[in-house]
Parts: sequence; C-alpha cells; structure tokens
Amino acid sequence: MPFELSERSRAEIESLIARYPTKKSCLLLALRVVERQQGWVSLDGMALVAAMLGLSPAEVYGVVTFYPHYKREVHGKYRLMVCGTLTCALLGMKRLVRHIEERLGVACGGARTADGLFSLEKVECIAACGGAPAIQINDQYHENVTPQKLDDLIAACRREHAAGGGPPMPPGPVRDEPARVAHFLPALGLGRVAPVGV
Amino acid sequence: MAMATTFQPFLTRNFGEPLALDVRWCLERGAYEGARKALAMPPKAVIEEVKLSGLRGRGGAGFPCGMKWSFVPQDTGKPVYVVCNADESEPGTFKDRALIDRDPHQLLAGIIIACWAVQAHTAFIYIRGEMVHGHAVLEKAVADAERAGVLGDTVLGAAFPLRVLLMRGAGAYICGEETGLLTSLEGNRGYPRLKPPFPAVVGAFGCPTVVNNVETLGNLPHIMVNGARWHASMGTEKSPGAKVFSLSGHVKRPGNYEVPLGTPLMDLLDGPGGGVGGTGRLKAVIPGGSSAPILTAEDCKTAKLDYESIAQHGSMLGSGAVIVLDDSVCMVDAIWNLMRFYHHESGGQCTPCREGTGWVEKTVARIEHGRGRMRDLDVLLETCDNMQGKTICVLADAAAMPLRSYLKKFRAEFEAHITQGKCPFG
Ligand SMILES: Cc1cc2nc3c(=O)[nH]c(=O)nc-3n(C[C@H](O)[C@H](O)[C@H](O)COP(=O)(O)O)c2cc1C
Ligand code: FES
Repeated sequence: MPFELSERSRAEIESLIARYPTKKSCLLLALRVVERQQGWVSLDGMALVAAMLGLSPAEVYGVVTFYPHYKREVHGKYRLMVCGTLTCALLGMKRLVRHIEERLGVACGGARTADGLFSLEKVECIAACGGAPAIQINDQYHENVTPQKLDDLIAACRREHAAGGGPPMPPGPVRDEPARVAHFLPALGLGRVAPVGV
Repeated sequence: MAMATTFQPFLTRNFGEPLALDVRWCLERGAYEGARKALAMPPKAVIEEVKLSGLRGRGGAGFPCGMKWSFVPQDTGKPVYVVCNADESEPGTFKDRALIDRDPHQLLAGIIIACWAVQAHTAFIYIRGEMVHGHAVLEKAVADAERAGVLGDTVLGAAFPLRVLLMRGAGAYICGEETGLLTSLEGNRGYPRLKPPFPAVVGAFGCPTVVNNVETLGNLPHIMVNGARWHASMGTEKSPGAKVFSLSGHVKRPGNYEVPLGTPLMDLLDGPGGGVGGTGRLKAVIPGGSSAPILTAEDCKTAKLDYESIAQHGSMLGSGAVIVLDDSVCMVDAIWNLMRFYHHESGGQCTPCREGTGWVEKTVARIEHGRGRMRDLDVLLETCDNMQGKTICVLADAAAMPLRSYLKKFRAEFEAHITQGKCPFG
C-alpha cells in the first residue's frame, strides 16, 4: 500500500510553508514530518513532499541521501548509533561495538537483525564527549555506556516492542530502489547516491 | 586557585536550575533585562557596545562579533536575517548542547539583541538533527516567549516584530560551516559557498545575514546588563571575557567548565578537571576541537586558554573543546580516527578535500597497521599541501592542520610503526 500523508502531517507541512521564507526551505523539516508519521523516510514520502513543495522528486532524493541522519527503510526499529569519534574511541567505543555485534549478531554498518528490531552503525561525535562513550538509540542519548548498560538498554527496547510500543518498524531494504529511483529520477546518476546511513 | 575565588560564572550559572526552562522564572530573574536595555538604545549604539566589549565569536574562528555585525548593509531593501549556529559538531565540543538544553532563554535574549542590532525581524536557530531534546526545549521556549510577549509582533513591549524559526540539520558536519549551513537552511545539500561575498552581505536567501554561534549569542545579555567594560575586564586584552570549555578524554572529571579566557590550560585540567585520568600521565592535549593542531605535554605547561597564547603554541582555541590524551594513546591511531572523521564528513564538492581526506585516511591506516613506508610521511605532507587553501570551505584545512602537527610533534611514533612493522601500542 503506497504511503499517504495524514491530515495532521499535511497540515504541519502547510504551516511550515506559511511560516518559512521559501517552500524549499521547508524541505528538511517536511522530511521530519514524514519520518515521524511513517517511522522512516520512504521514496513515496519523498515524492509527496516534493509535490507539496513544488520540487522534483530527484531534488528531494538528492537532499535525503546527503544527510545520513534521516531514518530509512534499511534501519532497524531501534537504530543503535555508537559514537566512533576520538573521545569515545579513547574511552571504550570499540568494546561497545563488539559487544553489540556479539549480542545481536549484527555487523556494524551492515544489515539489521533478522527480526528487524535493531541496526548498528557508527556515527560521528554527537556532542556528548563529556559522557564518553556515548550512543544514541533513535532519538535518545545515553552516556557513560558500559556493556552492562547496553544489555539493559537492549532489553528495554525488546520489552517496549513486545508491549506493542515504540516507533513503526521500517520494512528493510527496498530491493528495487535503484530501479524505482531511476524511474522517478530520470535526471539522476550524479552525486552521492550510496546507500544511506549504514 | 585564584580564578575560582574571583570569577563568577555567568553563561553557565543556571545549569543546575531546572526552573531556567520556565519563561516566567526567567523574566522575574531578569534574563531579558539585557534585551530590554538594548531595545531602548539605537541599534548602532548596541553594535558599538558589543565592539567595545571585545566579544569574539565562540564557534571556532574567534571573529569579533560587533565588527561582523557592522558589515551588514542596511540599504539593500532586503530583509536581514540572524542565524544561530547550533549545529555543534566539531569533535570534542558539547557546550552548545548544554547551553540550549539548560538555559534556552539566555540564548533567545541574545538573539533579540543581535536582531535589534542589525535590524533583523526573522532569526533562525539551526540545530543539529541529533539534538532532538534540544529542539523540543527550544520549541517550547519560543512558544512560551511568544505567549509572554517576549517574541512576536512586539518584543518586550517594543514595536519591533521578531519571530524565531527553528531548523533541524540531519547529521552533516559540513552544515556547521556557516555557508554550508545557509545552503542547508535553504533546503539543499549542505554545500558551502565561495566567500566573498560574505554572509553578512549575501547570506540566507540572498539577504544580508549574521551567523553567530550559540555561546556567542549567550554572552550578549550579560554584556548589555553589565556593560562592555565589565566584559573587557575579564580575560586578556585581546581575548576578553569568559568561555565554556568542553573538557573530555583522559581527565578525571570531564564536563563543561566556564573560566575566564587566559586561564592556564593546566589550571583547567588540574582544577575543575580533577587532573589527568587514564594512566595519570599526560601525553598531549587537543586544545580547540579536532581541527586544532596538537599540543604536547611540554606545550601544555605554558599554554593559556586564550586565542593568542594557543596560537603562539602553534594551535588554535577553536570551539574550546579540550581533549586530553594520556600516554597510553597511540598518536597514529588517534589521527587515523580524526582523518576518518574528515573523510566521512567532507561535503564532496571539492576534489582536493574529497580525495585528499580519503588518501590521508588510507595512508595513516596503512601506517597504523604496520604496512607503511617512510616515503608515506612525505606523501602525507604533500597531500596536505594540496588540500590546504585550495577548496571552497576550510574543512580540508581543518583536516590537514592537525595531521601536520601530529607528524611534526610525534614523528618518531610514525617512524616506529614503519620500522617495527606494527603498532608499538599493540
Ligand atoms: C568545517 C567547519 C565546521 C564548523 N562547525 C561549526 C559548528 O558546528 N558550530 C559553530 O558555531 N560554528 C562552526 N563553524 C564556524 C562557522 O563557520 C562560523 O564561523 C561561526 O558559526 C560564526 O559564529 P561566531 O562568529 O559567533 O563564532 C565551523 C566551521 C567550519 C569550517
Ligand atoms: S567523541 Fe563521542 S560524543 Fe564526542
């Protein structure tokens, strides 16, 4: 079923258009509206935003793929983002990454767990160096993280999921993304269109 | 220590106070008095006051704030914008996140002052995408301020309409560079633009724009209340005022500490920082974020935390992110980590940066893994030559500068990796 913007999402994007200097300047925030409603930013979502802002889908796709923070289909319901930059690296980041890889059976920067619950990636300094090593799980910061604390956090995610809570579950990689992109982006083929985020 | 007894922190004074999120409490405590005072003065007089205070930008470059404002033309017939740079992503830096999360009204008061000074009726706060909490704090603060008559059609009773719009980034370091930020703000990939024209003349949406860091703006209410002289009396002659330093790495008590500029580096480390952590033996310090050239333990003995002293020691104060390295740290491994960062974060627009950061990352990785050749050290320096000063923005320089300094000050470690065919640190 193709994704549709809800009334609330549409109204929010309309209100951005009314307040920001140009339609295009609403793009980064409009994508966040899609991300909140859908749980990730899909190709359909990009096309809908493009239509509302009077942009080409190609332009929107080009923007989304520049910014690694948007959640996409490939990410897990719980996106584990371990800071890999210097201070965290000095204070135990590698141990955390290994621990998650072993616990969840995933590779850092690779595919998510088979149940779709978790994906693991290294990110760059998240401005939490005073609490290194630091990670983010979706929107939440966790500082001074230890393997023990990680186990607790992972268990908490599982409990939330089992209780029917948490954000929507992304569907996994879009198998025909290149073909679909080529279809709605005739002019593409330039720039960085590498897989996003991971 | 002398500084602890005489200096009263002001930027961070509300850090332990949850009520600082309440606009009523802030109004009662005078958080907006500086803005009120500014609004009663001619804009030019506000610019003069800030010039006189000597306040320098806290985002990294240390450019005099009042002077930047004075470049804004008032006769273009176009709107003027103020943009608060809250993209904080220079590795090691975590002060702006704290300033936003814990005292958003201090920032809004600063924004009002900047907007009045350059006659801007719209301000943007560009906050990095990861700071979801900070964004929510700001959304609430702006809404509360509008309801309280602090922002909106009138500002604190003055007939000066002002709205503050928020923008969220999405995980790109390059959007902290002011022109990359502006391109991103307009809804594009965050590609920096050539300067000149400088943003003050042609900035957001082709209009004159002031870009200021969160901490720079946070200083303004205090300068307006206490006067330029008060500000200039702190710190050193050329680096007046106080600054929030983000202390991290091998230090016993990491955290944000506000001290007067000119404070000896070791006083910060041994005082509030509680001394060197890890092995307890200091090897090196990065004094101003990952782009800052490295200081050896010897350099640290005489370095003071002001723009001039750190420059005399061959580095820069930058964002005020002080990263402490103990003697267990392999300097090749450390710079490899940073070169990986710059390669990942290169916007990809300019070949010397996109390719250069990739090359140096690979070469340093090879050395770290014991497969380097002596020739590589010269190749690294040559690559730095080909990166520096040859690109649209200075991200390439920000990568090359620290690399050069590690090669210069810790060359023996690079050579040991090569001759031993492995990392001596295991
Ligand atoms: C690669 C790069 C990244 C930067 N990142 C930031 C940042 O995250 N936050 C910031 O305030 N300034 C950053 N700057 C500095 C800005 O370009 C600009 O100088 C600053 O926001 C101006 O504000 P100020 O004068 O108040 O310091 C960066 C500069 C470069 C070259
Ligand atoms: S280095 Fe990890 S949060 Fe800054």
